[in-house]
Amino acid sequence: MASAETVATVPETASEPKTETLAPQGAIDRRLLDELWRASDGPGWELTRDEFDTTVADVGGAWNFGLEAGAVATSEQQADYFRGVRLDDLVLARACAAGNERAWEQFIARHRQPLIRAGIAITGSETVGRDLADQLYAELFGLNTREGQRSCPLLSYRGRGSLMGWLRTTLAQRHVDHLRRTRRLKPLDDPMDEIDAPAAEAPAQTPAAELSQLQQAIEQALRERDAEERFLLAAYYLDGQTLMQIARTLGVHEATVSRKLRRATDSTRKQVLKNLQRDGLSRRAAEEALGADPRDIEVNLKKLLQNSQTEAFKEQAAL
Amino acid sequence: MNRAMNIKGQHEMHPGAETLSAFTEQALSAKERGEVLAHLAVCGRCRQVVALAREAAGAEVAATRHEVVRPRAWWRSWGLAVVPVSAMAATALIAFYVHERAAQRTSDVAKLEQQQPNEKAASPPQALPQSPAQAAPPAPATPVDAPTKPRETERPDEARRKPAAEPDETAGAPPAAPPDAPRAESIGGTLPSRVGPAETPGFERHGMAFARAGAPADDKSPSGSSIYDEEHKKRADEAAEERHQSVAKAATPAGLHDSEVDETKIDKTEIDKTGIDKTSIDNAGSAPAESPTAQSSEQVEVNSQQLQPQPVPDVSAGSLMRMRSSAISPARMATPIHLPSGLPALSVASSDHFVLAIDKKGTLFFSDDSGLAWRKVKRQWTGRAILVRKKNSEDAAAPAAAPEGPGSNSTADALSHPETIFELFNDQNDLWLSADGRFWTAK
Repeated sequence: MASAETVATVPETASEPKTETLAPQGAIDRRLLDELWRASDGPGWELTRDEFDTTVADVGGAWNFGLEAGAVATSEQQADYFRGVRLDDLVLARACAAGNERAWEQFIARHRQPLIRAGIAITGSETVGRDLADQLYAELFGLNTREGQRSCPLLSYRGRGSLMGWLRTTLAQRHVDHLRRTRRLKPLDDPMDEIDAPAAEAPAQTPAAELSQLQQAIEQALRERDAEERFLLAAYYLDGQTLMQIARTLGVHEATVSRKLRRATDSTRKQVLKNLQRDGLSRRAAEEALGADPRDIEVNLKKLLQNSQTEAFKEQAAL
Repeated sequence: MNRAMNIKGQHEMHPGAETLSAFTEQALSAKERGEVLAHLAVCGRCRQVVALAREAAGAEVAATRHEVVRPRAWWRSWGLAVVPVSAMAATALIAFYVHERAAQRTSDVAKLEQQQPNEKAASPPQALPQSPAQAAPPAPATPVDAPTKPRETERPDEARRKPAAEPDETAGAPPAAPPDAPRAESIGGTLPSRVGPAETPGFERHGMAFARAGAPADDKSPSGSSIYDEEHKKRADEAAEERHQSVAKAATPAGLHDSEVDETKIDKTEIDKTGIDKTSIDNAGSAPAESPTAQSSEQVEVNSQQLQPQPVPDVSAGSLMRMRSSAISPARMATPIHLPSGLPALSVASSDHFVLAIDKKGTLFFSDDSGLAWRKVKRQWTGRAILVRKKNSEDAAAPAAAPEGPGSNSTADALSHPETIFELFNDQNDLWLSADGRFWTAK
């Protein structure tokens, strides 16, 4: 039976969350470990039982079995959590990180070409996409070293989601980060800046006091929006994503996105007007402050959203 | 404002690739999903990462789908062939069905032929050209008060059972080559039986049989050839056999004993001799009773024995003999009866120009014009009708009258006042009687 000490010995990369802080106070049930061992293909990848138990403890402890930090997971909760873990991909990734040749052959057979295709799809260029995929592949193979030790990004994969999805997201992260680095501080959505600029530098047709009130009213209205509505507003108005792209991201129908987006827009506008009226403006004055076109709010929306603070993630980027 | 963003600071708070990947694949819990969504609402970088990863996944799915579609093309190419293959299969199925049905019909016909009277196999069908008089429409029954009634007191059964070597007592003439014997055989087919019209006033006359009998017989054959000629008879038999191959192909009935076959042959010989006698009488002009109509009637009577209904299992030999008298000519057999139901006739009985027939489904049909037009008889019996036959009152009276000797009054009365009674048996061997073939009463 794996213990908390065993979990603490799991090798970690610098970007991985500290398992000590998320480690469960209870150990993983032995029968669950046996069941997971039978379900996995660990022996096929020359993974020993101890290595497997350590991996499972690492995976469970990294997210505290999906529970709040400090909570103790029961056997049922542990089992529920591991039902959502891609055990086969996890074992393959760990076997590859351990240098198993057969595992690498399998990895290449499964993910080599899809990785290249993902790189091409992300970059929009076959050359750049292949280079991006090859660079990640070299890192996955452990060619990079960190502090004198061979570093394999596959160790950061803990089976939440598919391995191929993780690879694609990693490629996308690298591509976006690369663009942001190469463009220095220039954001990716330049066209939106073109639109934003006039709004931000719009001639003040309304008094400054009213603009200040409008700013506060918008901030307050956006703060009252829930996460999904804020995401919809940002993705649609700031990033310029289509309804279909947003729908795919959220896993819902395109019509659902459209309906929710309209609802979020209307409710935000009403809330802004209400906030303005609360600050002393008449309804007519509030509507004039907003302007005839409700899309004028988008300028402020982007600014406000980008300045919003979130306490949701303290996690650092993986790479 | 955007330019003032500290990307590095946000980068440190970004969710990892695994979390974003799990978010894209809907693999996070509701709480985790809400946290990621809240971050995505304020983080353009992660939104873009998620959007690109999702786009790449969509491209991968499309590529995979494209790869999967390739084998579908193979199927599609075969899918085009499904239509002609299906059509061919359907055609083959229909052909098989038609063939099976034809085979079934053939077997039914064979069974029907096997059910025919045993004498059919015992005496191969023989046929000779018929005389114009024989080909004429059926003549009415010979009046019971015919001037001359040779052998009227002789029972048909007795006549049939006379041995061949036994001389014909009533003829009083030596055996001679019968000029109309071939004719009788040609019409009578396989079971010649000399049953004169005067002897059986209710005998069957089938105009259709006459009309379809074939070429006319040589009615003017020399009457002087009164010597029995074996070779002539053989030739006649061969000719008749060629003309009635379909009838001759009938299997030999299993229920017919050899003794019966011999008896039938004897009867035929006797018929031949009788024909000779009659011909001699006709030619001499001293016997007005043997008119062409009477001859035809006699031949029709002989023919009627060809189509013998399948007797019910418990039908005795005597009943079998009576059933023979209610049969239809082989010419009718050669020309199948076309019942309104379209089914073959299972059992046929006739009296004069009245014909009754049961098809394979057990439906009874009635014809009062010798089979030209049929009408369905309303069902008045239980079960399935399988046999219809004619039973004459004299059939019942004859056995009792026979011991009384020729010329007895009771027999004469029975023959002079024939009352035709049709009998109908169902599949449970129950019996119904009818005087006219249309109204039936259970016995």
